[in-house]
Amino acid sequence: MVLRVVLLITFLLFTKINEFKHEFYFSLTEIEYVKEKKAIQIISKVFTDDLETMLRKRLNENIVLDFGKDEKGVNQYIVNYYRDKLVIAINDEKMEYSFIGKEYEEDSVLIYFEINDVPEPTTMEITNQILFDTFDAQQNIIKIKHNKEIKNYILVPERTSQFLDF
Amino acid sequence: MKKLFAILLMPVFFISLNVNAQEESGSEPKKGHYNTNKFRQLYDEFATPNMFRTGSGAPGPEYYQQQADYKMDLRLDDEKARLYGFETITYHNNSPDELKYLWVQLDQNMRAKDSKTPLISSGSVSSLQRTSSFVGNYVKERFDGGFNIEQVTDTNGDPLPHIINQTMMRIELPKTMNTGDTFSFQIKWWYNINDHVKDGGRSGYEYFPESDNRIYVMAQFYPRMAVYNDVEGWQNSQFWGRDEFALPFGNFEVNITVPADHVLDGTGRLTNREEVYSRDMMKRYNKALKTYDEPVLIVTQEEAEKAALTKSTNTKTWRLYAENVRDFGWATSRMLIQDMMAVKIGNKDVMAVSMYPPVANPLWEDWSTKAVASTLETYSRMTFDYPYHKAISVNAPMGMEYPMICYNFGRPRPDGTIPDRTKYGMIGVIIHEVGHNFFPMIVNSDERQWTWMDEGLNTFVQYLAQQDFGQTYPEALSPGDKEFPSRRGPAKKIVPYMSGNQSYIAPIMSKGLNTYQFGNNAYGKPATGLNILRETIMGRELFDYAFKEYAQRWMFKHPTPEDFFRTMEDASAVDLDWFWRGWFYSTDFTDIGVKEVKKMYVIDAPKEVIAERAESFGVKPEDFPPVVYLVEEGSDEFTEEIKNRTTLENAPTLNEYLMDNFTEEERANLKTPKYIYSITFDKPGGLVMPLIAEYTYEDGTKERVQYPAEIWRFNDNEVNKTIASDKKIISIEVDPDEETADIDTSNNSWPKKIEQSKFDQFKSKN
Repeated sequence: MVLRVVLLITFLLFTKINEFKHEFYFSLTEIEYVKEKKAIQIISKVFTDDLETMLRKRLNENIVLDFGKDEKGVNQYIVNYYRDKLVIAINDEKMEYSFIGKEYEEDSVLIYFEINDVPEPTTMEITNQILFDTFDAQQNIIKIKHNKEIKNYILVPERTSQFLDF
Repeated sequence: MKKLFAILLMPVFFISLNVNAQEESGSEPKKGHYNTNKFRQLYDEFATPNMFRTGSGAPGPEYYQQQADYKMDLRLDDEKARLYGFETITYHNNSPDELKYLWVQLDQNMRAKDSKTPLISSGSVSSLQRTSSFVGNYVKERFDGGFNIEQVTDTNGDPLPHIINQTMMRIELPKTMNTGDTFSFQIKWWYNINDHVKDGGRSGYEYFPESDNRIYVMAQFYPRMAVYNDVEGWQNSQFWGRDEFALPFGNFEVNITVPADHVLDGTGRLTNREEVYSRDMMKRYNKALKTYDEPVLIVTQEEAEKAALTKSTNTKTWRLYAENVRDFGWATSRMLIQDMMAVKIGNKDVMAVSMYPPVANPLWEDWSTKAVASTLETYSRMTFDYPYHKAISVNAPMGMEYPMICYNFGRPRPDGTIPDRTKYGMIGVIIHEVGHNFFPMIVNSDERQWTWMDEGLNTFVQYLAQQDFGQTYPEALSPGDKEFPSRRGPAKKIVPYMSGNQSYIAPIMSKGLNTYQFGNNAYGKPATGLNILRETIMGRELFDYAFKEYAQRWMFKHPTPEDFFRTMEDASAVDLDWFWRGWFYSTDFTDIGVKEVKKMYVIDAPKEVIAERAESFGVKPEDFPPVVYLVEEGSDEFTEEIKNRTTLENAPTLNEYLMDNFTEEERANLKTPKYIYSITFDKPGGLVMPLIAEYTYEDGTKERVQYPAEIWRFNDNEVNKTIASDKKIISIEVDPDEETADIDTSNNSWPKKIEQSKFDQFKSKN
């Protein structure tokens, strides 16, 4: 089922419209295969407010996402959550990824992961269920870069995975 | 003389030789083509100038606009959250046309039980849903928020035939209106006010369960006239919920009856202040009129908290009168704190006002009114002195604008903390919404048709106002921030949008309802385009003058996109058609780079070269004029010794020429270049932009040249520049300050720089 989204979505520029706040929820996760390093580099961009809402609902009402506040403690929660909700399989094998760090950029938080010693991918399967448990209207955009080609997909609660072959 | 003549003749020979060569090699006749040059003027796209709107972008001698005056009596039923209203609308036909019927907008009908708005959205059903959403979508009765029209009559009480098509009502006129006629009619209505937090909307109430009270931020609450003009006829495009509003100017006299313990403010002058204000409030108000540095509280937090504890059964009527406004908004509640401060605009005082519940403090008492005042100053400087007497900022979880009043989000967390993004978001939205007083409340463009004309222009000035605010109130910035962080404005910020998937991008000049990425398309991209014009293409002085000219030509009038585009050129003598065409009418993006750099030295021409050229001209080598020869480093004719000698040593012919034609004194002032660079710049991206090149020399000095956009007029893909220099160029950078929204900077450097990816940059820092 091809999901064409006719509602408001800001595809790549991450700003919540100032005016007449429409409720729209999405994230952008970029996944790039870097041949020279045999590594997969992942940058997942989520609205800080949304991630914070999820952490408070699932774990602890007092969690705060703000630059300089409880950085290390929060990171472990985020990593555990991601490991559960973002699954990357290369050539039919599920990959373990390591956490590089996170940074805040205006309204959003960018989370960096890396997978090392990755063989040349012939197939890739990405399952991204980030925030589906918190917002019904959540849409997760995934952007896969490989061999100078970029492919974009939108994942939603009805369709949480995308399979690609190269 | 003979020699000079020969030199001048050479190019002519070259050109004619080339032409002949082409004709001979062609085999079949080529097809004709249209003018697709990106510099062609926008004659085809623009509406033809006429007596209503001139070629210079100004209102023409026959320019007209209609007027709609309102006299309204409103009653708020706080218990039922319902509004009852009775209005007399007086419509003035200033057009040269006969009108048989009038169109009246019924915006609340998009919230009627049978509204078609939900029908046009596409979505799918989740197998796992939260119970609250399921109930909201499928179990609960649809909220019936449409207008209940009880009466549509003339001023004698005789009914007027009318028909309602969703959000538009057509009223049949008893007799045709001619030019200069006025017609008054009356409407009685009521509607259920929506909970804008739960159901969305640009107006409505917010309910606070802890105190069982509401804050009402009201707008679109009355049946109101649609615009009739020379461009669209009746602007009766339906209100589906996204595109905003087109409204005529007029005078409003509005009497609003609310519970006696409410505080109210809205568009216009409060004409019965002494009746509705307590004595304390009057005292504080008079103090505020003369206070320019800090807001003065009219209603304090304790007073608001106390008022929220009980509910008065008496009522008060607040009377407001507004002249020459296009709409009317008002806010009322027993929960509101109110403060005011005076700000000097031109030779007048304007009152900056804020209204907010205790839960918005301390953020709102600290910054709202100051943000209002600062915004009025910046926008007045860029356009015209704010002509109204006040500007109000009311706290509500939304962002929306009306004449003299706007509703803005931004509250501390329940635990009292205020993340940076909340503070900056709140100040930013206040600046944006107050800025809307200028665009479109006064420069009254048709928002239903062209969202960008107010949102884009407003977002652009907002960026400037935010910078000003950060400078006026550095204490509002967080530690580490040197300026107010702005996410729209600088060219580089629009790159992710413009470089994205083309199926999700539409040109700015597309109707709002039908585009994806509404925010970027109508707000960010136009604002960024204007910023690029100001900073890079026109320069601040020319831009600011032209922008101000546009604002002043069209204040209290209805401009169209062409009026803006034409005025910017008319007032600056900068040809901008190529810019509007690329930035507004297409989804092209910028990508300019350095393709190739050839380094050459000046030497005497080798004998074989002269012999060959002389023969092709039919001239004897001896008769060939004096020439110099540019030899490329690395080519067959190049030798290492050339590098080590000076130009005059390498080219004795040149030396002779100089000695023959210049005196010793003149020769002392001549600088003979040692290096000749032939630089090819290419433009893989479709958008035309000025070519900004920074040359770094061996001695560390830098030179920046901005080649005007016209450099691309003959060749849209590649241009070549020749630089003669006595210093070696060691690097060239295209657009070093990222001013042109270049989506790929990997081709911007010579020698090519390996750019670190965002990922690698982050990893190396951590």
